Amino acid sequence: MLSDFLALSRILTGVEDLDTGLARQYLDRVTSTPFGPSLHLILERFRGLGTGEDIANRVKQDILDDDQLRPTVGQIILLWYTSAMWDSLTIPIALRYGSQEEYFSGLAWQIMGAHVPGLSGGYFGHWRYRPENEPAKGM
Amino acid sequence: MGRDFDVVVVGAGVAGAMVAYRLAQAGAKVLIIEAGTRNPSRAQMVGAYATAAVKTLHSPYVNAESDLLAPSPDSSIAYYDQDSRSLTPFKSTYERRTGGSTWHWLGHTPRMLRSDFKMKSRYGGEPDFPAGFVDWPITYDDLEPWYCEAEREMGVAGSHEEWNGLFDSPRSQPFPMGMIWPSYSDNWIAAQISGKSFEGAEYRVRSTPSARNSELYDGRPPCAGNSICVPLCPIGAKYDGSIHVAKATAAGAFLWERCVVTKISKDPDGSVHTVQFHPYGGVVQSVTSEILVLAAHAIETPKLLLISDLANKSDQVGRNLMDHLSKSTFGIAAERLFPFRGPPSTSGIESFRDGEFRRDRAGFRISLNNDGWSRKSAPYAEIIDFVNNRRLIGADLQKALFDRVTRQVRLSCSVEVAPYANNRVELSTTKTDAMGLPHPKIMFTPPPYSFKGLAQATNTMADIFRIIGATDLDLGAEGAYDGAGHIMGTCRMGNDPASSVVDAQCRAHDHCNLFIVGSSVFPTVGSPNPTLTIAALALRAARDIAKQLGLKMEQQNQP
Repeated sequence: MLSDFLALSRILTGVEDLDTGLARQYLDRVTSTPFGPSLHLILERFRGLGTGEDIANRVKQDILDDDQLRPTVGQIILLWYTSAMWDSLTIPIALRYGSQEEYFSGLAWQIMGAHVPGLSGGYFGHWRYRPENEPAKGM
Repeated sequence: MGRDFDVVVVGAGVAGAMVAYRLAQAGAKVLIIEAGTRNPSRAQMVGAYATAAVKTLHSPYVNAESDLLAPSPDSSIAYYDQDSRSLTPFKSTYERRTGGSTWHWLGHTPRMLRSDFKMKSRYGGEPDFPAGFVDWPITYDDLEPWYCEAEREMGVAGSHEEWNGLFDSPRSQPFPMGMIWPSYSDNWIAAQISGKSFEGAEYRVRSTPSARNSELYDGRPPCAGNSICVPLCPIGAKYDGSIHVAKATAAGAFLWERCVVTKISKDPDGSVHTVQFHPYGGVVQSVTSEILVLAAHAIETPKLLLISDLANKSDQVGRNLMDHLSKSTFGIAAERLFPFRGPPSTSGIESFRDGEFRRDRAGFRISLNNDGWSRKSAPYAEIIDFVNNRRLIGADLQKALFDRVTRQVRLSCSVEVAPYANNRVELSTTKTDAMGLPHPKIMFTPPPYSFKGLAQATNTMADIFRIIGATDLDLGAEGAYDGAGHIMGTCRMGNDPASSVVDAQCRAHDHCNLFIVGSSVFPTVGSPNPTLTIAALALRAARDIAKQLGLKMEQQNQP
């Protein structure tokens, strides 16, 4: 289950180098919420898709396009990107965070050429310039 | 009769801490009484923020004990007794803890302008000019040396060249540190709008002075741009009141935390020497002093005065509650500006703070911000939107997110609120806290003068968005505003004891040994963030308290 979750997460996030420990934590978080049952369905369907170069398209067609499964897909991505989950399937009211490690591992900030709020890792004045971690030009 | 202390200071925020520090330095025996607690380590607070389910101003500071026994509008959404049907509620909040609300302030320290001290004589006379406007009993020139002193104490970074002489308000000394650098976004926007004007006032983007280190200063590191100044600087590069609390105790002051002051008693001769306080888990006790300094911000201070029936022969205690009307507006720039880096705001536009227009509408500041659309839930909302509505995942999602969020711009304004006697703090008759003290009852309706200013500020921000070619604008609803966190008024300063609470030295007209420091004494507020003025007035009051005690204050850069 963990390896399937990791493999699916790589496709959903577009990031190859995902941390296995975080994957285990995120898997636990999703399965302990009302999103859990649909995660099982997603992983079952994902296993049935096999592998291949067009796997991302098949994930889109067979999982993302399913109205019942899409909210959970969004949650998985949101977890990896920000460490947060919405607290409700239908009426998102509040975001729920996990551990400090998860918060400071959010991928979205780097994708946006920024840093996780609270930890820049930078020097005085770096905000004056274009980001050093700016994704490849032309992106 | 011997007293326990020369000076008791109620409240360990920036104002109380500076007074305590200066007087302890001068040799006074000083006690600071603080209702709240001190914080755990910064690392623990950053951790609390990172894991908080809902990230609020209070997230790093949650403390079950003090939140119950010294509640505040930060710890309890029901703290204010305020009509829930009000269309114009008072929205600003504060912390009750050692160091005060400066823990979660942004750190901006613009000065008030010369005209801000003379609103009535400078602009009064028109029918729409609010009757509550008065002149301060002191001038910009009186306070200017103390502004310099406050900038030195707090450690303010700024550009002397940009700020010297702003609206006839000269600076006599340079800032202690060079400016906080403008962001990439600031510089791009400045390049688009500089030289252009709106209704006669020229746009000029300036680096906002901030009590945030741009270099190693006072043993604290330079800002690393961690972007969460509000609610907490993770590395202590931003000034907060706990710094002067520590300096005060190092100079010999006593600090009693977790002690809620419940009443101040008046002697037959009108002086006040006895402070009753209730330690957490203890019984009510009292302590005496020659001089009493109230430094409990602009809501707890009048609350305590009203409970104690003090300083109110003028019937002005609690009246003229003010804030700044704040509004955020949002747009998508034509180019990538890379928000979510650096302090949340590093530059602003001061061009609209003063002018003849103030005869009939409020002045305002505009801030350029570096936090994208975080106040609209970015990037969480975008991620879900891209997945749910555009069916994006993987590299396509990354590309869309990068392209959208890096172009997000937030502009905001801070609009002067005119004083109005019926905007006030009273004692609730229906709600009490765990110590049995009444909650503050709040009445607040910004005057039309300020709403006119808010409308003009919104038009100005719309014009800036137009110039920079922004799309997807969200200018908010007409008349909608947020609190700026700038709680001011309620114990106004003036020369006339019949119409003000304290004199020009922050001494209560009714009680010769009672001083009130903090933004409660502001008779008018202009449009700048108030903390530097709070600090300058507190340092100035410390000089006068020392004189009253017969102490010789060590000369620093004092006038």
